[in-house]
Amino acid sequence: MIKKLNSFIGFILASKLMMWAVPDSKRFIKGIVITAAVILLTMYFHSEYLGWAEISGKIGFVSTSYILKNIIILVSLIFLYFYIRKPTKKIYPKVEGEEKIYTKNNNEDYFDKFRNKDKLKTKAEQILEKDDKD
Amino acid sequence: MGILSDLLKKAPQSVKDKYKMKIREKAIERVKEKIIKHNKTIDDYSDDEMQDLIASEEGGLNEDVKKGILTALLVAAGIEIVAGG
Repeated sequence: MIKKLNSFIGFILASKLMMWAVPDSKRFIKGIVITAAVILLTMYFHSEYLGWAEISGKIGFVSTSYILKNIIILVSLIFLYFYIRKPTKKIYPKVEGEEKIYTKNNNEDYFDKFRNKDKLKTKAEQILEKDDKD
Repeated sequence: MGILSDLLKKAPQSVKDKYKMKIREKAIERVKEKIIKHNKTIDDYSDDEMQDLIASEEGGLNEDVKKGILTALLVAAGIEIVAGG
């Protein structure tokens, strides 16, 4: 019981870590899950149809059903490929009441210069750097 | 910072970049919250001051991550001991 709980916690932590490290993984997992569901359902319905055709003796559309099944699988895989590849627009998280801090001179883009900097320096580091230059 | 910096040195560049971006974004969020809390605007701060604020928050966040990793490791070890015993 505790081992199962441990592995469950491990799974949750691993998925959380993955979501955190790769923010787009949510989209990736969603795409994979939907495609897998579509493929599995197609295969299920196809096998059901084959069973029914065998019992009823109506085998006129069996070859068409195979073609249809493979087309559905192929199309869903193509959809998945383009769904994953499609770049998503970068949206930064908003803080409640954020608009109050912006003025005519500065808007949301103000923080971009800090986002794009490789390393930010604290006041102490800035002073030390100035002293080194002097 | 030793454990975290060692861990980051071993990680691939893409993971490092994503980690840094995530931490930076969180630090900016916290700074925004602080500015809102004190009823100030961006114009009240110079670029250097803002850089200092974000850098300090980044440092704090890195410390939080370090503590979080250690706590998770300790919890995992604890569960392992309980499950084993």
